[in-house]
Amino acid sequence: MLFRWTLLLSAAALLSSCQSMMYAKNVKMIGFEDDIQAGKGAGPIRGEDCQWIVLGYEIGGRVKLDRAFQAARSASNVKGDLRYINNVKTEWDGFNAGNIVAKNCLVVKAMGYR
Amino acid sequence: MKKSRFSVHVFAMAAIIPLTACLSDRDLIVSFPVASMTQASLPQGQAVTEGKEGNVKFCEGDKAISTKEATVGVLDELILRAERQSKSKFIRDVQLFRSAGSANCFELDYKAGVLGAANARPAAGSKSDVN
Repeated sequence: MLFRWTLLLSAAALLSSCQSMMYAKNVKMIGFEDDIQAGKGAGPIRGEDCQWIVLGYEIGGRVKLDRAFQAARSASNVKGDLRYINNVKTEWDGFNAGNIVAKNCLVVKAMGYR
Repeated sequence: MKKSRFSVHVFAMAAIIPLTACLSDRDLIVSFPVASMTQASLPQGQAVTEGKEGNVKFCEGDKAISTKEATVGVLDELILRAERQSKSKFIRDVQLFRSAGSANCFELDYKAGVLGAANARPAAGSKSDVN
């Protein structure tokens, strides 16, 4: 009985200490320019940087966070570049089709302001 | 025998020099002019100028201050740490690095943000002094 409890407590302790990291979870504000005075909202924006893998061969360079941010800044649904973004979140996206073709993307999501 | 020992030493030195060079380099991930974990923007007429330089570090497994959940945002954590360290609401010249020799450690170089009045913007259509 004592052994079972010890095992359960150890498992719980291990799980609670398990930590995972992402680049941005909910960053309040990131400015692309020095001027971050309250601006006009441009709605939700999304930018990504992707890498294709075909038959195990990586096409293009490694996925980069700065390129994903740059893509988010000049998102196609926004007229002109954004000055700053709020509520910034990053996540991984993509697919793997039977190890023949795979795509890995680093996605930036936020609210944009001009 | 002496000659072969010498060769081993030369080989070892040749291997160590580039290795230490790799370990001492930090990998820049991204940089921004300004960021905040507490403020969404600035009121009209205000600007953030650069203050004292600082550096904060966070490694996987360290106790986070930005969240109590299992998933930690690296930028969230480091920007908040920088704001607390510098006692400012904004940080300037933000540079996120992966620490040298450790894949799960990150560092943030920054300058404290100092709030002040913004310089008057030239009116639209006004002539510039620069030719």
